[in-house]
Amino acid sequence: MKKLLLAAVICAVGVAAFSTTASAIEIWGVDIHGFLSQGYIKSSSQNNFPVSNSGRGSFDFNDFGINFTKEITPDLHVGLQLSAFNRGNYGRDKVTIDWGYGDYRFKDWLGFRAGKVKIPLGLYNEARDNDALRTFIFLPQQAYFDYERDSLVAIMGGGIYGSIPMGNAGTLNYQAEIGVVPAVSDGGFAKEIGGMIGDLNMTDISSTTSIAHSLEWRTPVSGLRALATGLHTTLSGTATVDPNLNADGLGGTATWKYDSLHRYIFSLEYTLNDLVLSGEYELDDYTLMSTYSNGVTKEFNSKQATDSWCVMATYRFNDWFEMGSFYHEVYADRHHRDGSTYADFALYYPYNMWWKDTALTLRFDPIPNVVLKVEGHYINGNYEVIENIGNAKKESYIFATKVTYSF
Amino acid sequence: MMINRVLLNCFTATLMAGALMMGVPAPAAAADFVIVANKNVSASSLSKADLQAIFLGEKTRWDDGKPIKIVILDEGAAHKAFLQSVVGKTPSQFDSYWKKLIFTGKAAAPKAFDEAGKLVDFVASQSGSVGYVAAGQAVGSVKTISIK
Repeated sequence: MKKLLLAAVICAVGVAAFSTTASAIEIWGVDIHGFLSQGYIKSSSQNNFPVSNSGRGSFDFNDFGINFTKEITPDLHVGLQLSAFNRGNYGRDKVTIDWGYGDYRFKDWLGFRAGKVKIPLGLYNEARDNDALRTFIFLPQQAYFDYERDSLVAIMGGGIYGSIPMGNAGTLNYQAEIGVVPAVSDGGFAKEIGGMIGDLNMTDISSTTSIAHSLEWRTPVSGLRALATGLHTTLSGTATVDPNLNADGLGGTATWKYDSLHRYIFSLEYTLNDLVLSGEYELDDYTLMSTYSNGVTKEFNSKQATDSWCVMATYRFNDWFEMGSFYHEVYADRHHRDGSTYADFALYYPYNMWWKDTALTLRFDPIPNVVLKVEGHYINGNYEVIENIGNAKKESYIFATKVTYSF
Repeated sequence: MMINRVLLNCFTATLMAGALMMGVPAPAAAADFVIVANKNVSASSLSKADLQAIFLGEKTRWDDGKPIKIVILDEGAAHKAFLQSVVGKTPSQFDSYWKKLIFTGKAAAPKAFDEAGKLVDFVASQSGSVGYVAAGQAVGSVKTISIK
């Protein structure tokens, strides 16, 4: 399947490259678009993030996808995107249905979608797979955590959407979705939760009925828009216990729950010609629980209250060069921003409880449909590092570069 | 710490570069372009808000219920002037906006032309279509729509 998708994308890239516009392919009324992206990453040697072996420098850093859409009538269309990515120990170029749904627009103010739909979280979640659609390589990690890309980015179910003009007050665009979150037990998200509880390797995962919502206000002030988005879900499943990490040195099985996640992201974006300024604030509340079959290990129960904020600025100097930068802070315990409660989280140091990331990106568009990026991060704290956080340094850097072809 | 300072300085530089360059692009005037539509489109004038909603894919039907087909130019002064003064985006921002719709399955890409003549011919032949060309390039086969 992986080879088939890669072959399909490469063939499509070839066809697109020789077409007159090099932007899309249409076969029997089906529009085909895709992207192919390869990067290189090097991080501080002990902070392998967000690619597992980035401390040594790694090319295990790619994304590719292809989508097909067909307009049945002016009001009804169907579409599907297959995608894959590699980040070392997660992603592993496993081909998945990124989104696939039918869309019926009854009126401009009311449309319906059914299938697997991307969750409209923040400014970037829906389109985050294709690197060419933004300035940065890595988005602020709390709101757009790479480890959650395989699980917390889409809903399988149905939803409504629409656009409501409000005269002098601007325009309101809304989306609401209900269904289940199609999480996977062998992905980055499962690894993240297993690591937070401390000793679990997930074997099964499922979600309760989940809700996502988005309200975008395109204000009467030219270039200014505001978004309020949210996700509400509970995930649970089974796991095997790693005796090397278990407090009692015991193995066996466990059941776990990522209970009552309420995630809100509030975003503001202002565009003035080629300058785009934006900021986001995220609030996460949930409870992590696990119970053990061995009868000895005590039940794990931890209430989490995290938050994060970021400010971003991008400026396009000309057709081929753009520069962007952001500053981002994340706190594992928003009631104790000094990290003083690290022991309650079974962590090792106060700096395991925050993440302060300063990033600079240079984006080049040398020829149509090709994007080259170079990016640097300086990070204080290591809250987002999942793999071997105990050995991760307090201060670290990430250097990443990526080239993307999309059509 | 050195890297931190360098990156923070770069963040400030991005902001300052943007602020300093703000004065460079001359404001586009409506006289730089003209809105053209198929002759069966009943509207003879549209508000800027309506045009913005149409070219952002939010308004997909004319007031009489017929589907709207938007048509754009690939590049050029009229393209830039129309996008900046009506849609409120630069060409690269507009391109990125539509790619986001395409790569989330929400919409198909607008039909794009590299020559005004081809755009006008397409608009003349396609019911419900609307586009823009440089002033003086509209011909009798299409109707022009004024901005309220």
